Amino acid sequence: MTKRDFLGALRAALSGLPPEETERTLTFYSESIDDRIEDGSTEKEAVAAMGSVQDAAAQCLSVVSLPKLVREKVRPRRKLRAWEIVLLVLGTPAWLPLTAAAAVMVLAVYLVMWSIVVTLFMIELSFVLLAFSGVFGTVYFAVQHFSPQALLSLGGAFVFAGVAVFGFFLCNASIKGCVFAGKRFSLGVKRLFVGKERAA
Amino acid sequence: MDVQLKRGLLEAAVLSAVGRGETYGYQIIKDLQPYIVIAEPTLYPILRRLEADDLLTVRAAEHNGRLRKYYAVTPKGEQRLQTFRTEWAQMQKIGEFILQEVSHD
Repeated sequence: MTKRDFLGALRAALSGLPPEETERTLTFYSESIDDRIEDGSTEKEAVAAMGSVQDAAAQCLSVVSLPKLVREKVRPRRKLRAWEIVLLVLGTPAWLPLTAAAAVMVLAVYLVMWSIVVTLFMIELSFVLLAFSGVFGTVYFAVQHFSPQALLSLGGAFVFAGVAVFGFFLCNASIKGCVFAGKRFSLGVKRLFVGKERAA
Repeated sequence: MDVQLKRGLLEAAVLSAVGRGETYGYQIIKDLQPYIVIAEPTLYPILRRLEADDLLTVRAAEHNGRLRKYYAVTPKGEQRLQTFRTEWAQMQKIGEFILQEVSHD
């Protein structure tokens, strides 16, 4: 890929970003390619060293905050005329709830993900408590010389303890998974604002 | 290796490279190369974050008929490096312990 192709593709992938961000990123990569060429690489090698366009775009996106992207999306491209402003204000009952709903949906996704984690921890806690109650039951029944019940309690305690140990690892994994999923979701939402070619 | 730990280390490494004297992107990559190989997509967000945290400054200067961005460390950045150096001794000890476990297996 030539330098021009790479930068062109990167520019397209970043369309929708605030102009300063796009220019900043493009300048960085353009300079980096030039530096490598100056150091002895061919243009092809230098561009290849930059990695994929998607990766470069994703790294840039991770630096720009979601609110900034939203602001850029709704920024008016030219001065609004009087009637447009009036329409915007009058139309508030229409677009405001929709925008609020979209924001709430994004939050809801995070809420659902983390409530799954909380639920898993609650279940884990209940198994731990069951294991403990099994131990107490064993002692209680053993003291009363109720052997079958004591054995049952002991068996139960072991089973619940076993499940709790397994559950502990599951809970840890769920937290990691939640953090990872949250990041991917955030990147995905950001991507909705970026990368669509504006009609010339 | 834990992603967060690696990212923190990389940021400190980049800051350290800048701390040795005003430098530019590709030079940082070359300086780090014997120790860790990173490419521009990894470097870019690190430099941006360091700048946003006020740990380094950027200026554009002419070089061979084109503009090049040069990065320099700020006093706050120097402080951060100092903190890292003092914390590193502790980190090394922990690392020693971890490595001990492995060799006894």
